[in-house]
Amino acid sequence: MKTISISLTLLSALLLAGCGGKAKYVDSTGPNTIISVDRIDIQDWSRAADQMVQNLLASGVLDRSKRQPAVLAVSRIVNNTSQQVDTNLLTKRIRVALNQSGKAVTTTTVGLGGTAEDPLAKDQAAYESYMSGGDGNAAVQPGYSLSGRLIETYITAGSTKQTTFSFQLSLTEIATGLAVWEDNVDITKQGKKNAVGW
Amino acid sequence: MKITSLLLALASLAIVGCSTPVNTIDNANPNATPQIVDSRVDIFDNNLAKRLSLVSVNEAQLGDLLQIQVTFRNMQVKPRSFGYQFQWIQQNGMVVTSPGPVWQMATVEGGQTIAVSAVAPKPSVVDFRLSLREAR
Repeated sequence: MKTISISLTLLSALLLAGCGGKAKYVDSTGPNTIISVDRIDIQDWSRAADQMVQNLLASGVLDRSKRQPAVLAVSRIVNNTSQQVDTNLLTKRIRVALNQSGKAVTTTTVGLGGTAEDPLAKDQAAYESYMSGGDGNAAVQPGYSLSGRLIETYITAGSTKQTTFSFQLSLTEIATGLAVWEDNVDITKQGKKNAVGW
Repeated sequence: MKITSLLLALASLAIVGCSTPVNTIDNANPNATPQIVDSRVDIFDNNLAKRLSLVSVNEAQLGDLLQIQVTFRNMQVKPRSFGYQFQWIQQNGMVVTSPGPVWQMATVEGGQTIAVSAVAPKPSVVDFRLSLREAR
């Protein structure tokens, strides 16, 4: 009897040990990622970006651009959440998807406050422009500017926490200054503590 | 006998819990004329298939991009959360890997009909595949 008990205990311990703890690779947007209650997780960035790209492509705005593919510049994305985040987690995903779609390309030589994302390309373009008798500004000018805001709304009821992250983006047509496409994606998470998987 | 009935009633209440299903009202003679797609369903999770019934699959063309909408109905009283992922297939049979497929989440109330839709990421896409997974 005692032997059986010990065997069962050992078997249980082995099973428990086998189920968790070991590091493993998981799909970055998949069902095995960690879900936090009060932070923007990697899958949240992907979901928000994916939804926004779908909505932008479905709107047909980029198809109406005079220049094809449309040229975008990334403007300011204000972070009003309690987290320190790199907004490239959102914008880069959007840029990649738009680039792959063939509907838009993003300039890396025109940036906010004159700061280019790729200073080498900007300098080289200016050099080549001067050498060919130009004014040093050879870069293709963007037709659209992407700006936005990240907002966090937090509330509790007893020990249950709820956080909503709002991802807001506007695409402004530079020639007119009008926001020709806007979107808001809310991701709401509720619970008492973080969890592995959904 | 009375005790059994009472216990059964209590058990039903416990199962339903705080769930409030939804009633649905729509046009008896719909004006929309969707382009319905014949679909093939591979089922590995029978419970999910029973709970979430496929209503229709329809497609539309947005310029040169394919748009797919899949409509489900929650056949139970309890709300259900599920993840879904669209994969996009090009003419040569290759799946689009960049941008990679993303799992999205949706919740459907008891008795509610819900549509999930997606736009193909590039004009070369001609087909789709949708994966569904019930949340734990």
